Amino acid sequence: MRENRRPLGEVEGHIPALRRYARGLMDHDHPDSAACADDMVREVVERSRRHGHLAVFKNPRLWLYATLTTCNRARARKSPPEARPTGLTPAPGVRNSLAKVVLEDREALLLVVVEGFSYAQAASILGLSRLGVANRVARARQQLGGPLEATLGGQARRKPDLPPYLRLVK
Amino acid sequence: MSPISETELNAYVDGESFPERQALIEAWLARNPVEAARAKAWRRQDQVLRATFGRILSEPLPPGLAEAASPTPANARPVAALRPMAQARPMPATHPCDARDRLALIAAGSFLAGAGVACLAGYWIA
Repeated sequence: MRENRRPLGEVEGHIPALRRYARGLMDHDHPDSAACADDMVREVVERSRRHGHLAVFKNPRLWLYATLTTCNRARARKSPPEARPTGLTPAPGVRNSLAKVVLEDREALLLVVVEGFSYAQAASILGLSRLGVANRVARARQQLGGPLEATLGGQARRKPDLPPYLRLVK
Repeated sequence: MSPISETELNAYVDGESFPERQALIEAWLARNPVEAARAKAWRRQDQVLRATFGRILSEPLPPGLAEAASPTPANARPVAALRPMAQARPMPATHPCDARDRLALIAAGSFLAGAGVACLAGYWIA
């Protein structure tokens, strides 16, 4: 059978980290969003099992993260910001500041900073160039702000750009 | 204009700047304390993010996920039976990755077929 061809152990080992990434992708730090994040991880694990797939074999970790990213984008499209639960009183904290960062930029920041992927690996997960990842990480940090950014104001903020000397390397 | 862009400063903080640029970036940071403070703040923020989300790693897996994670032939059940919650928040029936991979297969197949025809034609002409 197809299912038996894939080494399941490899996927199992990634589940805690996938849950962490899924939780970061959620828009609210709320019990319900944690359950939703776990649903997505379960969906990804089941998909990996159904696929006796070349892409899964080649690099299971990258495949799992890429699939989770796609699942979450589909979910986010189905529940646009106005349809999301209101009346929640999110506690101030880094997770809620992160939830306000544009999803595409948040994905890149989470993959690089929290999940520890290189720019090249994150680029492969997100289907971007390495420079694309660099720009998104820069934008995410800009949106995340922080007390220091706030006190420095606009003077210290510069737009992420495309420097000619930042080469694309794999 | 600043010699170090916002993107490059971020890459430096992430350990992703090019080795030949590193000395230049460090010299620039030494001359620009405001930028150096921002880079430091990002590093601190990264640590906070890692610590905050790191706690999730030690959480016990929720029952549904623990089951999905270790199916043995004995407890293997149909996928639909594992997903009462997923039905409330449905996922797309077809995954974009599936379509892309299928497309790649078709492309590879047609290329091989084309190459075969070309070989045969070459042989016939010869």
